[in-house]
Amino acid sequence: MTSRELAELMQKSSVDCHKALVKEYGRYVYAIVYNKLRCCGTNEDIEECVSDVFADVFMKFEFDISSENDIKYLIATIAKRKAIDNFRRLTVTASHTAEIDEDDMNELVSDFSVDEHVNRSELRRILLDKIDELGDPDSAILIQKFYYNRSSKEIAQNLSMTAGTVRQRCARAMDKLRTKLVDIGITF
Amino acid sequence: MKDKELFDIFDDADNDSIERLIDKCPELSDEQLDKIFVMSETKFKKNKNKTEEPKRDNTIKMTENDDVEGVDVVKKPAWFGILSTAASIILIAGIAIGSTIMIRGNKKIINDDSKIPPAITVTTTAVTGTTSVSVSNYVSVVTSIANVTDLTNNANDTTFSEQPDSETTTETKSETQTEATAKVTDESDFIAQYVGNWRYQTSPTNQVHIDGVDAGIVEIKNDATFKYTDNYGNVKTGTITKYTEKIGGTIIFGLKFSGNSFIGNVAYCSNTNSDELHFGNGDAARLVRGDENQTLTEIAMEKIGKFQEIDGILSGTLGHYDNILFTDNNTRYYKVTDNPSIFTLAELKERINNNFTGEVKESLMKECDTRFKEKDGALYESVIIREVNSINTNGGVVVSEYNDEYFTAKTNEESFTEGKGRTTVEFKLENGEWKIISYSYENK
Repeated sequence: MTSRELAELMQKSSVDCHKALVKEYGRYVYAIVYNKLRCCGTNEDIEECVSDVFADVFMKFEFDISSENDIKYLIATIAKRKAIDNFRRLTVTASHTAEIDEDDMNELVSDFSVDEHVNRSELRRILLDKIDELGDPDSAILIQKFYYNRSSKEIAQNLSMTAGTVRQRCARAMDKLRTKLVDIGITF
Repeated sequence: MKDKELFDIFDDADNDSIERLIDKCPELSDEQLDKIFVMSETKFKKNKNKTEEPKRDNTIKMTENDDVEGVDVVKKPAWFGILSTAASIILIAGIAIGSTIMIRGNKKIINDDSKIPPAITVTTTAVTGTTSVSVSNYVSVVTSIANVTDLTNNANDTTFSEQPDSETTTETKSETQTEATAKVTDESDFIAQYVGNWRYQTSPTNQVHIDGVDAGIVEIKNDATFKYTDNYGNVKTGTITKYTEKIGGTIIFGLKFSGNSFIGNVAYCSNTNSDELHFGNGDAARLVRGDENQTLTEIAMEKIGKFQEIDGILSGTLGHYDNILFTDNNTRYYKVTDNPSIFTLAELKERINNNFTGEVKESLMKECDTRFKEKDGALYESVIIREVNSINTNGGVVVSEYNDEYFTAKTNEESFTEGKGRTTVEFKLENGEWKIISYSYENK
């Protein structure tokens, strides 16, 4: 859906435009928010954040958006920023202070390791490559099962198969993935 | 590691990984999408209402870049205007009535114009040894001059006769004419002695001779008109008439100004000071001629200013040449650089003499001799530099304990010198000049 189409729809009915936006980009926004909040938030937190994102998007659409070249990019940016805000809110600990010895100060110079960051990015890329090598629907089953925390029943509904089949395929796909990773020297 | 934990590595993933994970994200159910839509729409409307609150009547517009422009139109309740108008009317009426009462209260005048002679006519006829004097209106003038013993008073026109007394009659006639002429001249020239510029001073405490503040300049002209220019440049003009008031048998003269330019309309002449005219019975306002009649506050401020100047010179504020010097009694004296504030030692001493008396004067004179020497017509100073005796008059002074020959002035603000508080300066009148006799500081 282009920005012009959305602008025209907005002229006719803002509610219809909002519905269309949620339908078109709901899954997209959900995936972005989920990636940031899956480690610290509940499903309700994630849905709350997704609705926050769309509320902001709707506000943005109150103004002329016909000049926006990439609506998807705009929504992704809003979603990432909103998700980061929610992540910070959810991970705020009760105590904001800590006593630190001088010996510990050197360790606090920076908690960001470039090497580690690169390694994790590389590992993510390899893992996704190996999952893709499993082919559909096994790759989707693994991601939805272990990353999106969907139950076998939910996955079965999505992929139009039985829950039992999902469980069987999931076990086999995981074995295959483990073998592939061991082959390239990654054990877990 | 559990199978599930392997996928934790995707947390907070980079953009490329997220894109690949999005492709594998399960479809959201219609129910879930509807729920998200309803929540979003509710939040959106709430946010929209918040942002539109100040945008009433579309007078404020917000652009996409969060730039805000326009005018915030505030609508007050209808009754607010009526209430404000009523309050304003009451306030104005109160001021007008209050001012009228105050001015009338200050006047306390006995304005009996019927007893004031605007003109006098004396007609004398002496043919058969009988003197006939015809006086219009003003019996008192004639009786005081002619010592008439028998008087017949007929309302506005009085005629009286006297038995012949040739020796005194002639003299009496002559004196009467001269006196009458003098009176006429006085009536028409009453303004002459007041012509010039006068300062109009008012006092917030009804002690104008102490803390009167200049409110403007009044120019009194020969043609009995005046021009009042206040401190803000506002100009008022009007006419002046002679005013006479009788209090306890004593006639008091004054100048009656037209309009309501001053605290009262009549400025009374002073018996003791011809350069001062007072408004009303109180001490709330006055006119003083030229620069004369300074208030005690003005005198205190001026004298303290001179004290600061002299004390500054003695404490080492003058510049000097480091290489032009001579030695006297083991003390080096350096030639003072050109300084317009002081030229000779005698001039400095004269300043001290004009502004100080008593022990303070003696002390400053001694210091003057220690600090300065003259050689070949030039002034030299030693380098004994002491602390400045700072008196801070930025907040003004308060005059108290005053009488004809003495008063004190206390600064409202503390001295700039560390550890020293407000300063009290004592003044004494010496040969018609107010001089400082002492000063002291409060401890901080």
